[in-house]
Amino acid sequence: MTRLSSSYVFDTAYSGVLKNRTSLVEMYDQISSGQKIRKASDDPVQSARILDLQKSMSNIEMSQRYATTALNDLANEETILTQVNALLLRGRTLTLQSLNGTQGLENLQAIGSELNQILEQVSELANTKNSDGAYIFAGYSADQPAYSFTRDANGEIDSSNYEGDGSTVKKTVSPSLQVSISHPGTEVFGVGSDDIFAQLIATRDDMYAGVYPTNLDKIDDVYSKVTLATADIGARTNQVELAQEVNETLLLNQQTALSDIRDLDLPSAIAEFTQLQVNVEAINNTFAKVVNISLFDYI
Amino acid sequence: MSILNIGLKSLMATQYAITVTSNNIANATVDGYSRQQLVTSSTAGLNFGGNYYGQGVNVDGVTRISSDYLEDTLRNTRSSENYYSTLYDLGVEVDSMFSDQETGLDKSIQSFFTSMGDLANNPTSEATRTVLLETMDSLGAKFENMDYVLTLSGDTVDKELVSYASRLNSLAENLIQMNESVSASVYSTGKVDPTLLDNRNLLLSQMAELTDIQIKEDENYNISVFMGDGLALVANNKLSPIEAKSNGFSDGEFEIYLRGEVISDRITGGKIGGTLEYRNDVLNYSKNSLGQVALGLTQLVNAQHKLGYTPSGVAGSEIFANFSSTSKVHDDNAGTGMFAVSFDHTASFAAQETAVSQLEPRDYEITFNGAGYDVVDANTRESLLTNASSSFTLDGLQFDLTGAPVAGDKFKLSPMTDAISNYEVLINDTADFANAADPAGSISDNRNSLALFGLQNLTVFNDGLDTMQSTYSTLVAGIGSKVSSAESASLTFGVLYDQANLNRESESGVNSEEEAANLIQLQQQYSAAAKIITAAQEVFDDLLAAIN
Repeated sequence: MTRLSSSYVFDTAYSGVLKNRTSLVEMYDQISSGQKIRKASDDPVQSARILDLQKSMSNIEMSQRYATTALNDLANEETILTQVNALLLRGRTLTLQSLNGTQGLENLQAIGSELNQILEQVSELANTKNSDGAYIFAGYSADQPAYSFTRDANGEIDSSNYEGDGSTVKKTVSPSLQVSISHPGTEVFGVGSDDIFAQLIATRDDMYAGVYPTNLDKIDDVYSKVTLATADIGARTNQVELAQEVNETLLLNQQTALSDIRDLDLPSAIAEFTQLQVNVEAINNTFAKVVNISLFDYI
Repeated sequence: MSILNIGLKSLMATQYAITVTSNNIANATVDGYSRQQLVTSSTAGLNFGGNYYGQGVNVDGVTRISSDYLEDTLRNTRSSENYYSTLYDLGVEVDSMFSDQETGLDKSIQSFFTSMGDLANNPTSEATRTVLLETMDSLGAKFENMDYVLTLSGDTVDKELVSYASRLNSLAENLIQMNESVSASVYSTGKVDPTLLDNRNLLLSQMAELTDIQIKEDENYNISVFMGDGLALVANNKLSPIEAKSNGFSDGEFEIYLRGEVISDRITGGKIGGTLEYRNDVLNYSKNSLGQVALGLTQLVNAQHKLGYTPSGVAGSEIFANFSSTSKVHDDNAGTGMFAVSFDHTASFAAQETAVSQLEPRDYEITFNGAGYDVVDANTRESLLTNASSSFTLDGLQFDLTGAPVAGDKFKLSPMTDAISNYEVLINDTADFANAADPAGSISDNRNSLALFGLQNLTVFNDGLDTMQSTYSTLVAGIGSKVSSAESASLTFGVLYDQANLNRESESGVNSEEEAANLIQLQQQYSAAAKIITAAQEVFDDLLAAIN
């Protein structure tokens, strides 16, 4: 039988009281924060994983913000292209009308005025700005209008020049994906003497002069460019939406993983806490009894 | 011999025994006390008529119940427990600071790159540029703040070492006096006062709390004390005091010296050992790793930024100050030499990327050997280069000598920690961000800012294994595992110490019940002895009466 010294009996009993109380406080700390890993030494490997997850999650959240902006940008461009599309369709119809040989000079001039209206509207749409004030068809040089126009003595547009740099601006929509969010003007409205403005100017002037326009095929070329760009936007929108869904799933998975690693299982923690509480009470009750037994009481 | 004499001797012996028992009871709670026992023996018999008759009891002496082995174990476990608990107590503060989301670095780096991403995705927005400037300032403030806390901790370490050293010296002085008292008591009485031995053990135990010690007792009962791997602290009853003082480099950290030599790396136990281990393995490692991130981040961002152009078509300038740092020179240096360390910011991006991948979280100590320069890791003393020229490249950094050193001159370089104080944002105009990839001066050209943003996920650190943030999370995990293993080791040694204490207590400690039982027995013994005297007297009286 081990011989116990009196001071050892006291110390052991006392440190039992202290240890249990410390565990109780630590448990309380975990419950009040809801986290079982409060510092790296609680679980070194998992704490590095927590940091990695937090970083990854905030990158995904960031991408989601950008994806929303990208969708806005794409929707804006689509609206504009739809309008351009409608205007070009109307212009094409008017040009076809003039070609059927039944129009008098006055009618041709009226068609010319209407084509001028269309030209004005398309030129305005070509210089659309987004909510940040950037000219969307200007490429990287977005702080100046995509197109500049000169006007004749009557104040009508008689020439156009593309001022942008023809670049495609890309934005991040997921940690691994960048998507083009607009088209340079050249891809939508054509280039130089083949661009839509030159065609509309020429046709309008033909009408004014009472001659039949000869560039219907060129108008058709631009028309198909716009249609192509619109389809492009549809595809890009799908791409961004898909990225958003992937981001969403990733975020959810990582949130779950983070919570599994870091968060406390509350019901079992409370059960453990209650168990500890019972222990502490039991120890407090027995402490006095253990240390108070002495033969001297009986002498 | 008479019955009276036997009774008297028994009375005396019992009285002594009661004294010893009372002393045990009185000292039951005194730290380090070993219980004592009265040793008695039976007196040799006298021969009467062919028979031997015992002549009562003899008092031989008072023994102290003690075991050197148990005392040794107690000291060793106490030393280890203090080593690990000191390492834990100091380390857990760094651990908490680094892993907390608010006080740690990760969130600030994340904000920096989020702002970079915002700029890349909204190149025309003035607000995102302003926010980016602010996040760069607060990232710098975070580096500075963490460095400040670590520096304070380093100062505390130095102060602790000084106070531990002076405490160890004064305990050793007490030990020498105690040795002398023990010798004197042996010399004058031929016996040792057990209390002196207990007190001397207590002193040794307090010394073991500070460092790991081995003891040796010579034939004159003098105890010699050796530290670490056999460094004599007290030998031949003479003290060689240890000293905690600066390592000789201006503003250098403190080391433990014994007889003029650094012995820090030879102390492996107790509070001193734990404090030194914390300083080298947690504190310096954290500071250097933090600096590694600061240096890599600032220089890589600079390198990428300089590849771009601002909206007005100007080539990108340095966002952060270029890195450079100079050596601390040793107080004993005779020459005028000085080392500077720099990061080659004129090299290509790829070359700078390679240099960043080679950065190591360490301090350097360079010694001029007369012909060349020997470079060691200042913490681990690992040799890095021998006989290098006065200008060399190491760990992605360029080291250059200025001035004229003399053989034996020493230099210390802490490029990583200096990178933290070197952190400075040079750009203060939002128009100076070089977003564009070509000099056309296009506002929406975000290609360079996308590339800057991409640096976040570039695995470049530690030979291309880590991103900036994973370098940091690896550091956090490293500190965490160091601290958690210190915690479990301190718990283990706590249990072992308790066990050693239980063993010592069950051998040497006082059990009140036992003493109470002894007391009862002795009281009865005393009454019995008194009865012998009464009986002797009555027998004598009867004899007298018979004669009369």
